[in-house]
Amino acid sequence: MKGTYLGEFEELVLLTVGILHDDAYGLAITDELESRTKRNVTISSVHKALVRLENKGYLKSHVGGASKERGGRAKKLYLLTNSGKNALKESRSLRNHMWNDVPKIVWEGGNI
Amino acid sequence: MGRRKHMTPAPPGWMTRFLRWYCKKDLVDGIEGDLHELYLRRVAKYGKVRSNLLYFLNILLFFQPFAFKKRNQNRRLNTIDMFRSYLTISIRSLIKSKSISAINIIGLAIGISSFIVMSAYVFSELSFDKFHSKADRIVRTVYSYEARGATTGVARVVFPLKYRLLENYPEVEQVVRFHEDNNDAITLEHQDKLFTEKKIFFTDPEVFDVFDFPFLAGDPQNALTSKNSIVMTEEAAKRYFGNENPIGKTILFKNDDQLLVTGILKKSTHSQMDFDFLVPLELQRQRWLKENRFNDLEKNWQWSGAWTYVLLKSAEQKVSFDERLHEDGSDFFGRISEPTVDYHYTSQWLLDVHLKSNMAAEIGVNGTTSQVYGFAIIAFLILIIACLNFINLTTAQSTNRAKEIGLRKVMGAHRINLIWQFITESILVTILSTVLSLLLIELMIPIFNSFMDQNIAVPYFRLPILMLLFFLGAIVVGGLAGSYPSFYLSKLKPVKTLKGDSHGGGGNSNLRKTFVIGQFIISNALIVGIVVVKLQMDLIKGKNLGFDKQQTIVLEHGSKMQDEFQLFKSRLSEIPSVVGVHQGYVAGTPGWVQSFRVEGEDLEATKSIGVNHVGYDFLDFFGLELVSGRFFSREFSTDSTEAILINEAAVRALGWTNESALGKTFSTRRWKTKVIGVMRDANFESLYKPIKPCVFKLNFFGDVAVKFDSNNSEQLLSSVGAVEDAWMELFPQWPFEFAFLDQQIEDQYLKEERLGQMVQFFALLAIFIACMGLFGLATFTVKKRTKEIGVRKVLGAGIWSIVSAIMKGFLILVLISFAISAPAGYYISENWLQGFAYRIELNLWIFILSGLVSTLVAAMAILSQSLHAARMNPVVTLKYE
Repeated sequence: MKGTYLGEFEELVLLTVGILHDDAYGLAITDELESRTKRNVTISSVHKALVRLENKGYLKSHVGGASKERGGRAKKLYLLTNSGKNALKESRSLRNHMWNDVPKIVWEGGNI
Repeated sequence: MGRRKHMTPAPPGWMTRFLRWYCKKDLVDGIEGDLHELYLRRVAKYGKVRSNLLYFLNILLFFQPFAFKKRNQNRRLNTIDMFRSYLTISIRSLIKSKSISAINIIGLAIGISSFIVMSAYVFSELSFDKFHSKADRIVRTVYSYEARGATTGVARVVFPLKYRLLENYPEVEQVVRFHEDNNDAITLEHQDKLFTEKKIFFTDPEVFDVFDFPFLAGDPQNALTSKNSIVMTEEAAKRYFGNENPIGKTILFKNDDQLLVTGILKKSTHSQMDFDFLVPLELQRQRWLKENRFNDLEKNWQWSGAWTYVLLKSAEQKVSFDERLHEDGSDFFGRISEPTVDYHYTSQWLLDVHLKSNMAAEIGVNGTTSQVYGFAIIAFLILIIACLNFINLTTAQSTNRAKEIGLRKVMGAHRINLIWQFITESILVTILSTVLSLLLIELMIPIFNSFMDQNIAVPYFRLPILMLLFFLGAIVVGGLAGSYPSFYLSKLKPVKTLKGDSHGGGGNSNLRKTFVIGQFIISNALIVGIVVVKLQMDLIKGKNLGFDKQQTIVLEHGSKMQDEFQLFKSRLSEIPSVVGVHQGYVAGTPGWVQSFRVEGEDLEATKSIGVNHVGYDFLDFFGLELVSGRFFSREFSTDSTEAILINEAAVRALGWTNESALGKTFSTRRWKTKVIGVMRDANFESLYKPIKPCVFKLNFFGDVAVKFDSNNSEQLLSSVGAVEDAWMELFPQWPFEFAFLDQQIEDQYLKEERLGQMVQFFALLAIFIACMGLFGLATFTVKKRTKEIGVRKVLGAGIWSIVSAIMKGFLILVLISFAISAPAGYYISENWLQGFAYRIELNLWIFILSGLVSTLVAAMAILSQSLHAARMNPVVTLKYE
């Protein structure tokens, strides 16, 4: 298996796939990311991340329905795999631990 | 409204097609769908144009490795296996037909190596003097004058012109002169080492500001500022100082001037200035002033003795410099009030001197453009012949394999596989022959260098790119040669070929015939060339020069004698085998270049005529003939001042007759003389030029020649020994060195002759390659026609009728090519011969002879194969099927 390191953008994409649950495809993920992060997300970078995440085994895909507004093309729908869920959990717990280890004084000390 | 709904906007089709073209199958639907959705959204928002643009931008953004189709991912391994198979089959097929493979490889290797060696020579000739960093601004001043309709160009100008150029010409940055003393041999001495040096140039101290002769030791700025300094090449320094450091040591110049070695140069082999030593011109000037033999050279406006190189401030100024020089020189720089001879002063680029200049008194041995281009053309012809040969044989060979191709196709080979098979084979052959040609080049270069007295090299290792190009070139040639048969043969229908109808097809053999004709056109033209060059060279060598040059030696330091000559002569008269001693002009050596303006009484224009200073014995010594009048005689005391003889060419040039010439008076600024005799024309100078008008004047200086009458070489050697004894007794301070006159004259033609031989060699090589090709083709044809021959034999054909049936086909090709090449050969030969004063006439028989030769050679190449075929037992050949 390729490297399991999860980049920031990849993590966001992964979470978005989770949020969208059964309608997670390229454009929907892009829209969701844009509205949540308030930054410009290009559709190609999302697709790129999806391909990479699928290669890493965090996502699996299946072909969804086609529609007129898609020019008759089927959607490629993504779902989180177990290892994808684990990766997200790991990432979260790593952050939690690190949060906990930041001394209180840092938060309360105000600006020097 | 309903209609509108159907007309949902869609992005331009070509954009989508582009996406589909590069994008992976399993991604393309998802991406295309997403983009389409996005597009519709955008159309509603921004309108169509902008959306189209954004759509395309999106597609471009997807143009990334992750989305690309993975091409032939599975086939990649197979490619290597297939290549291995191609290679194995190629090697097998090479081994299967050993003789044709050998012919192919060797022929191509000879072609490639000859081409490389000859191009190395061409590049070496073209690279002369390019190493000077200011070469593009350096010009040489030269002049020409008209004399009786002929223009004579002179490469040297007068010494003081330098100062005039520096003062009056704003274009000029620096002027450097070179001078060589041809009339008096120079010795150099250091401790016990004494040599006569021939390659000494006198020059100005600024020489290194203009020219970049590479210094190994010493300071170029001040190397020649002192008149008692000398700069020498590394090799020359070794002769005198061995391995010691020569800088700061002294060397004795002509027995009396001590010169300090101030610089060591690396010898420049690709320079028109071929010297071993550089000595300040000032030294020569001071010596001559002391000896009182010449006027102060810096004030001498009569004698053009300096090769004068001018560094211009910019290259563009040559035009204005030339104009100014021409105008200024037309009255000889104000020295001649009423000029009667037209002087045309001009300048030529330094870089043009070696190949384009052909004047009197050149600074070195020049090449000629036609020689270099001739070489280049032959080099290309050889390469072309070799390549045609290769293509031809490869094509012919591969038609043998129609069955194999049919079978391969039946077994499922694609056309592309077959094409690769043939291309691999021919590339393999070219690579093998490239390797072989590298070996051949290594063998040929030293031979070429020593034979042609050249310094060429192929700088493989300094230029890895050359190596790369070399192999790349081989692969391209191989690919091209392989492509024809591969594309042609891969088209064959398996049903047809497997049925046994495996004849190569008409078009194919026509192409082969065309190639054979092409090769033989080239070979025929080359044979004509060889015959013409050989005949012309023989003519020149066998030409009676009109004077006697046998058993004569010329003493190297003889010109140092003045009054001592009489003493020396009387000493030599005691030696029985010495039949003559002469001081003065030596027939057959380059004459005096300075031309005297001689005024005929009944002519308005003065004419420039070369002058030869001779002694009383000149006529007898060189076996010359008198046409009318008498020769110089001691009985007439005025002969040394008032008498001259002229040759028949001069008589003709002046429009006199041999009789009427007698008594005519000539006057120059220095003397007034009367013609006392006319001498028969003799060819004193190069046979390439017609005999020039010349004047003979009595004088008592110049080279000393001694003539012997000896029956064998042993006796001659002992006589020379006796002369040496006399010399050592009278002139112990100068070494006794001599050269045989006939040898000296022959050496003049050495370069031409060697070049001719070299051309002949390469031309023969070309013909050899062509014949190898013919041999290969004959082998192939015979093999293909075995069955036919068998049937013929069964039906009662004799050996010779079969042989002639096979040979006829080829000989017709040879004859056709002869018909085409003869006029071409005639044209080229005629052009070449025009450069000679004495030339052969082109006869029909030259062409008939060369046609016969090429036909004969071709016939021999085919004969053995056709004989072999004709002798085969029909039982064996017809056994199959």
